[in-house]
Amino acid sequence: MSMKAYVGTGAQSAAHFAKKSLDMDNKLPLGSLDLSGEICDLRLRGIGKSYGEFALQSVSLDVPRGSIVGLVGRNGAGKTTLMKIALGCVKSDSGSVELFGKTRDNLSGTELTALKARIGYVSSVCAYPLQMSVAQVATMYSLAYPKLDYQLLENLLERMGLLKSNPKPHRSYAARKKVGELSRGMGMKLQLACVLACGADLLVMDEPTAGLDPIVRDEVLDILRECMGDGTKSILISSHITSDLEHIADYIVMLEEGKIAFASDCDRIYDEMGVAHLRGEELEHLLASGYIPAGQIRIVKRDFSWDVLVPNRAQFERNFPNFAIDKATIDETMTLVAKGELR
Amino acid sequence: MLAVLYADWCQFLRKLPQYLLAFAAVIIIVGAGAVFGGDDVDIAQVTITNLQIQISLTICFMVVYILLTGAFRDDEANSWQQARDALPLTRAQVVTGRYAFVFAAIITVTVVCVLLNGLLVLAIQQFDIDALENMAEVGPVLVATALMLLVLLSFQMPVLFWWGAQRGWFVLTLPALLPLLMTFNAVKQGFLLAVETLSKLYVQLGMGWSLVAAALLVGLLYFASLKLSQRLYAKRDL
Repeated sequence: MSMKAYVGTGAQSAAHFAKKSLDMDNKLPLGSLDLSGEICDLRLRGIGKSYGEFALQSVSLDVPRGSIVGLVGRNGAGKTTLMKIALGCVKSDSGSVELFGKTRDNLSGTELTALKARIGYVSSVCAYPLQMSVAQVATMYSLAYPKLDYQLLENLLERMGLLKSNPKPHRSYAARKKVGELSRGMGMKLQLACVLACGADLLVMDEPTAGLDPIVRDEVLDILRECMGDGTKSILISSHITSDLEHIADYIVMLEEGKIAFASDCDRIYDEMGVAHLRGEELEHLLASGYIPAGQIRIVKRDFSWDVLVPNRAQFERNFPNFAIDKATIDETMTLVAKGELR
Repeated sequence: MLAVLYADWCQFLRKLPQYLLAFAAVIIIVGAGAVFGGDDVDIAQVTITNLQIQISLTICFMVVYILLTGAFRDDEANSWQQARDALPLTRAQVVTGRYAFVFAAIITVTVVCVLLNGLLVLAIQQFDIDALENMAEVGPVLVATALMLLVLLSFQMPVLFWWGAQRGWFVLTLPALLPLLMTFNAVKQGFLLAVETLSKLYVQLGMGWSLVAAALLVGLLYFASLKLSQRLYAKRDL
């Protein structure tokens, strides 16, 4: 990231900014996202769930067809719970889950099974019985998913080094390897191969890149990019490694203490939003200017400056040409939203 | 449902060598204990039927304990039950799959025990004991044992589906405790009385009508247990 040269002048007064006619827009407020008009493969509405002191509070989230939605947030923010609710592993106390346009609660067993056949789940660990072999997992998937493309599965496993090219691939050493003996990266690849070959239209991935080395992480992300090629698949992916999401996600949703703290399309974060690095007096000027409405300015104190989340970088630069501002990243946005002081 | 049955089967196969080793140990320990343990025991005087029953019962209970513990513990290990819940299956199908698997396992173990006893009968013929009569005594006991195990499982499985193996660990100890309980004379007599009643019914009704009646009752109980498990599992958060 290139830091813009700082040429701020502390002598400029707050009154000067207050008088200046500011260029302001009336777009959606910072961190809101309206996808209600889109065709969505997964739609969560007003989801509530409480476990003791933790509670998901009326969370709504959409995964539009052909897009990747990244779910970020601190540990314990509710990401996994939300995914489990989407998958049906956990029942929500309130709200509804819509899968491919149909409300889950209204479905019969057969309808639910048919819809679940269009969903692939990738856990943060290789979530198959530890005693099963790679070949047995493949067979289990072929029994569970009527649309499973066994040839594609074998090709994927071979490409990923899980099923070595062999005239009798199911007798190879790799195929007989137990799930419990696979490395973390191999386990993740096995899960990916299975869900991709089963013809799932919606992938729900809970921290798929956690604990992977950079090379395997890149391979996993490459495979995801490839699978999104035809635009018919959608992915809901959670990750702590926000740089991964920067590469692949179309939308970012941030959960904080069980609530959606921030949601935006990624283009808006990179192209429009910014993080201003201000000195004390500059911050005062900004606050006095009323450029960002009171109560909506998110500020984090750094060693020698204040970081301020700016909704429109270009506009900010026009209004405050001498203030330093950089492109926003998901990481910085997360930090400012989660830890930022509201003024 | 085939997928979960297959997963259970694979796990069972992986553990089969351990099971066989355990069976061999049981046969050796119980057999040796019976033959060499008593002061007044002569090999010709050993009550072979009791020995067979002891071995068969121990094997049956061991299998059910290991199988059930292994299956439900494996569900909770490695987030498998969450991944399984994401497969295109209803929870009712998952429960039905497990019930079918356990039922098949009990039938298999009973058949294996019958075969083992057949081998034993061949072996004891050299002691001039009426082998066929012996088998007639052991047969109903084995069937009764299988039915009793199904009754036991009918009480265990709903708790396991409701709470899981970690929270519901106490129900898993039930079969392990029963052979111990059998060492108490009153319990043993009660069990033998039940077997005797079953044998009498068997003789009176002929062609195993008594066993059919008992099997029907146990089947109903097992089915009711399956339905209860389906309801409880449907409500559980994984």
